Amino acid sequence: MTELLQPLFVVALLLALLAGGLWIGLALIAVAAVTLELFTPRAAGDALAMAVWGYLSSWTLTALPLFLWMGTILSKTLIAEALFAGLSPWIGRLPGGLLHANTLGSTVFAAVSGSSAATCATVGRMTLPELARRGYPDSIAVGTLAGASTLGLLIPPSIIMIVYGVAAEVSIPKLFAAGLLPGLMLAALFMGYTALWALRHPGAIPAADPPVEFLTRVRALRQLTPIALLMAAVLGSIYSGIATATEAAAIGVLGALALAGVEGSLDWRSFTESLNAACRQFSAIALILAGAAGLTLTMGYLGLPRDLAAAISALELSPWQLIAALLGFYVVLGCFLDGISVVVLTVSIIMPTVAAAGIDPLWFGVFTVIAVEMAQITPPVGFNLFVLQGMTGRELPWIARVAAPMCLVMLCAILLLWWFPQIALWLPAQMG
Amino acid sequence: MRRLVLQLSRLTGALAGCALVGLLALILAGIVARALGLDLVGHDAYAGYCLAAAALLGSAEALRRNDQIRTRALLDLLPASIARLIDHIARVTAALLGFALAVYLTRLAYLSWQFGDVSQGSDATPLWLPQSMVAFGALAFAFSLLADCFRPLVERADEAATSEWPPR
Repeated sequence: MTELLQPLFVVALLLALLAGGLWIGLALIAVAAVTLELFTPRAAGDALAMAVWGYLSSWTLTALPLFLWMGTILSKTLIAEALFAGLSPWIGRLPGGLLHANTLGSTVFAAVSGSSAATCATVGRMTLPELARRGYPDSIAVGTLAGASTLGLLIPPSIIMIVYGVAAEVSIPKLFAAGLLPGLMLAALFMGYTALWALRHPGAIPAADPPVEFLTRVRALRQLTPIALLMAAVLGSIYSGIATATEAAAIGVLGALALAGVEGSLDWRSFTESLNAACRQFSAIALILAGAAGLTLTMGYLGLPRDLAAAISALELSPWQLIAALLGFYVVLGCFLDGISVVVLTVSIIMPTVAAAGIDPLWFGVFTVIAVEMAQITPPVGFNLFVLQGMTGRELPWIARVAAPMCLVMLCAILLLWWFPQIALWLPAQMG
Repeated sequence: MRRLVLQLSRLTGALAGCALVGLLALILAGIVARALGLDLVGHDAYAGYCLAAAALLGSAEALRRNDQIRTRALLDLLPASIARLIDHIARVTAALLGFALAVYLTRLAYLSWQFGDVSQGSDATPLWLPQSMVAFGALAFAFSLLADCFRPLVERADEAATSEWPPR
């Protein structure tokens, strides 16, 4: 009986603290402290201080603040404008026209940014006013942006993949490689959905511009040179194995600074502002990670992950049923918590179960990230919805409704990945 | 008191920025050294210290500028007066937890200093040095959480409107 009471108590306490609006990281620390104090002989305060220090001073996390910094520098540059100018001559005559700027812009920006909120804000700042000016319906413009900008999580570099990699003890460069093809596939699915929507709603989309000459289009692509160079430096150095994820992130910060410098938007003020914003974002994430480190220690003492794995394997679920159940669980959890909290709370507890079911941890990482992407655009808590609310001034339920079809597109992506796991696993296998 | 907390928060925020610049410099130095075939002793460990220092030193500023993360989804479902009460209890609880965290992180640094603990890695750094930075950050965070309990509700709402996270 007590075996069942302990985990129930832990979960109930956690839910109560989270629901009460306590800072998530502090709530995790509180639960860990109370649990250690009640159920183990360890002195909670010292054990937790040691766990927090040990986790936060580990080399594995160093890529995280650097990628955040790279993002805060780039979000102050004119990179979004360059993206739009370079891409729009190519997509104007596709069904859906300039709506594809949301997807393509997000896909490219995701390759230099690790967060979906930053991708959403940066790409949307350019595309939303432009699409509205040309008479595209708001619903589909905002909906496609909401969906596509979540690619910031899946297409490397990715903050959430670093967090997953550390929690699940999976190589971060390999995770980054595993995310690339599924990310491109998801982008293609988004574009396919947009085109289908446009074909089914003829007349909703303004007439295309006259065709642009091929050479002019190629010349427009030159605007993408800086971002392409940055992408090559960051992802190329990771994939080729020359640099670790952290080193690639440091190169990325230098590159972003250089890009801002060439553009003329770099001065002491913008430098300190981007640095400050990166520190604050990192601290906010680090508090959750610190709490999770404490909680993981506690869970280890209680043997919860092991018991859970045993209990679930006793159910004799097929891997397919397990994944479906976990997806449902993630979607519900993602309604109330941000993606990073979802990952740190579940991954270390669930990994033994996943391993026992014979599911590849790299594949599971990609699956988790797509599930979290869905969480980014489901109410009431979805970071991309908040960003879009700030940018468009629309009500949250409206944004959630126009973004909802994108969740279905992501579900398709998960099904495709289930049937063709090689989409995720082929590229990391090539890295040796 | 509030002025002091504000200054403390700004100071630790600036120190966090220095730690992040230090982290960048260490990683870049590591890349250059490897290209030249040199071995930088313990630079991974130093990077870890910068990381931990930046994490805690930045947390007071993150709180002040409304970047810390929590969920209000369930609070918003309740009647406003009850939600305000629960919100206040949550802020007081947060301050208590913040001080507990600061006390134990300070104790960690103090014990390292007392026993002369040095890093297990090749850097052999006395651990109380980076740990005291972490403890200082936690202390500033705790005072900011305390100040947050007394912050008028109007001001809280104003700051929510100027938050940069998620970036607008």
